[in-house]
Amino acid sequence: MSGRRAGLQVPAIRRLSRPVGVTGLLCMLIAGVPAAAQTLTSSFSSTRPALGTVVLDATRSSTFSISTTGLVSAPSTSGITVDATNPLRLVFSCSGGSSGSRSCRNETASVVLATASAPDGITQEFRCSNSSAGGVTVTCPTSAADPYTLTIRSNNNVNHQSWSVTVPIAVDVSYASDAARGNGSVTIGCSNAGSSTCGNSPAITFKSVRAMAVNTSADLDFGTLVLPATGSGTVTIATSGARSVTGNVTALPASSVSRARFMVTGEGQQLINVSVPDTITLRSGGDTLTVTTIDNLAGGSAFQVLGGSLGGSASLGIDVGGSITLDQGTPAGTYAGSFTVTASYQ
Amino acid sequence: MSLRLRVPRPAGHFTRAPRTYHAAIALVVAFVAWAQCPTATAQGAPATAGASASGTVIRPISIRRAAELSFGRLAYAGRGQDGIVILPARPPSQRVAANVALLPNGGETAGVRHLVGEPNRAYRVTVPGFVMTNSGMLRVNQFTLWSSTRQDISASRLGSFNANGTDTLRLGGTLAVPKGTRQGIYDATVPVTIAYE
Repeated sequence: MSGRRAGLQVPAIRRLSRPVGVTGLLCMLIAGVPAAAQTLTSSFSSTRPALGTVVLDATRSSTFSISTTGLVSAPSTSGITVDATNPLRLVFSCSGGSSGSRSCRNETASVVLATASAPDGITQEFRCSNSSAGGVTVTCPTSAADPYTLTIRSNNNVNHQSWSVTVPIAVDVSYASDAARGNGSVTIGCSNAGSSTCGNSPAITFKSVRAMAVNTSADLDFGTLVLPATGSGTVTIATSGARSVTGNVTALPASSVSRARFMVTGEGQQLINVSVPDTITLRSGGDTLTVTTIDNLAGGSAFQVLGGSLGGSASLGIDVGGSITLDQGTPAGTYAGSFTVTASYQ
Repeated sequence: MSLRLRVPRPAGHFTRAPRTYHAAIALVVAFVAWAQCPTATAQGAPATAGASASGTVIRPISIRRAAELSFGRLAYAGRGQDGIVILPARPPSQRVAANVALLPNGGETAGVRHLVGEPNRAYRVTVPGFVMTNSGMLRVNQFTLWSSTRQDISASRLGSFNANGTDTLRLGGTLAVPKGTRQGIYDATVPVTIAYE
């Protein structure tokens, strides 16, 4: 993943000129230096709103949003695990103001949020809400495009020596359908100018993986079974596809006998959950048979790992067999049913 | 002037106390809101694939023996050469013989088996190469087979159940009658095995 923006582009904090009056000019001439001694600082209170896994849609772009409270929403085609207690917040403060005329009062500044680096195919937009409290007014731009310029203005009623305002920032992160997979991060910076400083650059870290798919290559077929004349018996299709019989059931030779087979494909080296039903109901008219399934998932279906490596496609074959118990009272018939295998990233 | 209108409560009206009623609504609303909240732990839309599962279960075959193969009453009647008796499976299974006197009142009959199984399904018949008669130890071989559904199946050995799941199998054979065989009733117990094809 290569950086898309090597540096920040827009001067961030600019002290706007305002009339100072004749008295002010005199004071400045007498002092020989500007009276301003305050420090304007912008920084992020959240250093790393780390996301967990982002599942990319295989065929189209995906967008998820980090709200101002840290809550993440995403379309149904993607999935996200996020540190929901770590929202992105910009803190803009003024401190060290003197009692002179150039204090923390009546300051106007701009802070620019911009993406410092992002993997190919990933873009961001920002959102905040206009606010006015404690004599400090925050004005957010109407366009959410990156870079994103906020204006902070303090009036004459603020504490002239220091004040601080926290601005929650929402972020919309968009992935192109062909965006790079794997581990990556989006680094957001703020830029400033003049004597102000700009603090840390938070990063949205994530792991993006390709969309998962499950395909069926074979169905489960027990072939033809002859009911027991007396007692009962059990027919089993192993995950190898081999059919065996115990008890008084007879299995007729048939080429169609087979276990079901599925292929899960997704991102390499990912833990996945696989769900195979414990039973399958087969029906013949109003009659039913129950298949107790068996599968080749070692260690439980919830702890499977796709092979390969992160950044590459990997697959996992799932074989599903099962067993049926028949007794002399089982109604004859052609029984059929269906079942599904589900896979998802952990 | 004030007007008071008293609306009677309809029969079956919800009679729960208002506070409880509101609490229930609040619980439902809260549940719906919770259910619609985006989850922070969703792992993407699960990928699924379906497969079919199937199996055909058929009735077991039952065999009821209605008659054993019997060549009836007979005696050797040749002039030095061995004799034979052929009793065909095809009805009416009338005997033919060489160097043998076929005598009446011996109850000659083809072997008959009544079969029940899966309708319209084929079965295979297995009989031994030969058997010996129950008395006199005469050799019986060259068995012939007749199916009510498929007629003569002596060569194919493949019969079939009819639409009702039944069939009648008839068994004929050839009896070797050595020179000097004494008069008697000669029958044989022929093991017949039926299995689905």
